[in-house]
Amino acid sequence: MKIVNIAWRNVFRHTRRTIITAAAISVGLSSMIFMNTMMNGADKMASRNIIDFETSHMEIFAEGYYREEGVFPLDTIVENVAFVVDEVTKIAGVKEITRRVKFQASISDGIDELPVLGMGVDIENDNRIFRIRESVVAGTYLQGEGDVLIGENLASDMALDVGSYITIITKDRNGTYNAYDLTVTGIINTGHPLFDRNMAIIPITQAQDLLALGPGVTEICVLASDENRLEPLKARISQAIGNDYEVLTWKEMNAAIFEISGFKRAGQFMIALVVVIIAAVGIVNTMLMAVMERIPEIGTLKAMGFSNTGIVKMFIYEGGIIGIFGSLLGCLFGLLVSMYLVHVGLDFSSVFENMDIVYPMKFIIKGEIDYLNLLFVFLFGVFVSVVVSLWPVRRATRLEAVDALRHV
Amino acid sequence: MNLLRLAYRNFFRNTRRSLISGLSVALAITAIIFARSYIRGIFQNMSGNVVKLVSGHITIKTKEYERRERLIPLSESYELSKEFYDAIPAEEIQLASPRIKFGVLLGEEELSVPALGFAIDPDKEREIGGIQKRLIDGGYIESGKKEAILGTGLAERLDMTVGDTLTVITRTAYDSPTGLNFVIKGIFQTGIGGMDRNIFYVPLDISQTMLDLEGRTTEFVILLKDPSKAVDVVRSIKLGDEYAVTSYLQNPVLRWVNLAQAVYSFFYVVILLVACSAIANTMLMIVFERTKEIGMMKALGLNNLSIVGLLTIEAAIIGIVGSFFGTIGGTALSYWLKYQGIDISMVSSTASADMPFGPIIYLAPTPFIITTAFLLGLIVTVIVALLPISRATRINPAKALKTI
Repeated sequence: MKIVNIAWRNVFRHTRRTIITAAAISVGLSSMIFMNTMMNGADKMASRNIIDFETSHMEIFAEGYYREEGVFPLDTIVENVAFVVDEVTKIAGVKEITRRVKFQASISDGIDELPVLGMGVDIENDNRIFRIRESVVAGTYLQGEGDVLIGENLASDMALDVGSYITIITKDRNGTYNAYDLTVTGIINTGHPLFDRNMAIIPITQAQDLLALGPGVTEICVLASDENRLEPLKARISQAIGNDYEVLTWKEMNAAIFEISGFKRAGQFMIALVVVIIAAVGIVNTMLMAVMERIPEIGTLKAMGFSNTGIVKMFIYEGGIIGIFGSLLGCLFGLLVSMYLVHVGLDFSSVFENMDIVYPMKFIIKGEIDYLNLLFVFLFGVFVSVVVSLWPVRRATRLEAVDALRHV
Repeated sequence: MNLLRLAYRNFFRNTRRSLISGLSVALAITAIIFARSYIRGIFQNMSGNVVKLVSGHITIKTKEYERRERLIPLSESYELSKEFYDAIPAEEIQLASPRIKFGVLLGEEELSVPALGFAIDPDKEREIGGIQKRLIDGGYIESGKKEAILGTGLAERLDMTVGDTLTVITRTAYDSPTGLNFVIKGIFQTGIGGMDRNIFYVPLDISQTMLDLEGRTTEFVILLKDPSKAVDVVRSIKLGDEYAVTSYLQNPVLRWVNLAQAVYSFFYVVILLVACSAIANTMLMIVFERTKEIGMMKALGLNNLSIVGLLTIEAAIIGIVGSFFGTIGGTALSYWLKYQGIDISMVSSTASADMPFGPIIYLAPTPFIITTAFLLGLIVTVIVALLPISRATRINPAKALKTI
């Protein structure tokens, strides 16, 4: 306890030096927190977009359907829909379930033709899982056959409006070309680029007609009651419906996106780490000065019977206290900047407006604070400060009391 | 002169402390040189891909085509007349060639794969080493033959390989259905996921016939001998009002990378300030522990300016030593990675054609990056050190001499 007291007082022997050292480490730590907040925000937005519009928590396909991203084969589809729906509805932990059909198509306004992703949705219960109905910004949601919903960007690209007529052209499962004339009933703005730029949504019955699928669908979407326990639910579903089907969670289907995000995180962590290392060199410098200027003092302590452990402890506490100050300051500052990100956000949308950016979100990044990470960063700062203090302190232990006292 | 010698000797009074202060600057300079070379490497990688594979240094389209570009409207074509060729300054040009993009749905039976056809002049494009350098299987296409080369991902999605027949069914510029069978001559891989998955190349002349665009094009691509003249050449091309002449520098991604470079500059200064905190501390201590000495010097008649000069020179020596080693470290690291490259194929395989960065980033250090980093290190060191040093002017010689 006394040693802590001595260390505490030592810290304030050079207040200015302490402040500069602590400020340096706090800059490093706050940049770590800032980057984490930004990446979390981006990831969360992407996840929400995927779950709320694209895949729900998990999807059931016919075995062999899911091959590669961007391929929508019609040769392996879920034929016995009633069986799957019945079985899955019985399973505990399944909250909602809906059917969807995805297919490659073109739409034409009579002049231009553009490839899009077609999607047939169950008008009745798609909205219990997905948020497409809430995203309609003009016109209304699908009312029945002959209606189509398109994204805002697609509408402006093709100069379409509510009430415009378009033709949807596709090949059915037998390879025959089919086309339907449709009326745009509504325009959606989801914030998910795929939906806003490249998607035509029609009632599922019409899609089944168009593609000659009969009652078959390409996928069955499942919303879980507990989104943190998807794996056990997936196992239960797989067991109930057997080997003819494949169940994939939204994370599995979007592994590539989270891989990129992991890569970016690693890169940004490296940058922040460099800053922390540079700040740590500053701590080494400060502690070295502290040891050097107190050589006679150390000699006195030793002569009075202070053990080496006591002296090491004294300096470690000193380094630790500087570390705690720096880390507190860093966390506080990082939190402030993060708050700005959470409440205001960074707007990159003008830059990325018309680009295919792979990441399923629009570029208004809003932060998401991870308090656990904040704690980790704090402890990391203190830990680094203590560890780097060890090296200069080692010198103090090697001093002989007699020599030290004579040192001027 | 004497001040310099004095400062030099002072540097070695506490060598370890001086070196550690210098070390933090060295680390920062290394990081800065690395980061700048890396971003420049990404820029070069992307602009290389944009220029060679997508738009050339200069693209000429009609304004209407540009407006509706995402729909690839073949109806917005223009004639490749003599007047058109006359408008292009021949002496600056390495390659000038029409390119036509057209969208199709490929695939047999129930399979539908949207793809983008690039109609190119095989002989001209061979000279600039664009796509034919990326072939990993088979050979290159020839003018006048119904041949195609496919991206790896596209070939995989279609389950096709060299020697197979690719049936292309699309619409002509006059919106009537048209189609041709092409023999797959080769497979290319750019490492850019979006290109490898979506694009195939076919000869220009065949495609012009297929699309009812004889003697016409929708896009015209120019490669320059000297890319830095792009903006001047764009200005010198005098075409009618309906044409849009754009340089590769207007590409949104490249502009974004340029913007990122500017934003990062702010970050470099933060890194340096953190590094200089060590020097600030050192100078603070130096002024503190030499109070008596400084008092003595003042008593002997040295003015404040000389004392500040003496200490500033000492700080500058630390800054020079740190910047020097940092520069050596950063230069070595970035030149090593310039030849070694950093493999980012995992990320680039998901990159879209709009953001064409290749699988390996080669760092691109320049003497400018290296010198500015060195100077920045030195200047920021001196500026940061001046604050603690200024305390030395407040030392009262009479009082200082009395302290022990």
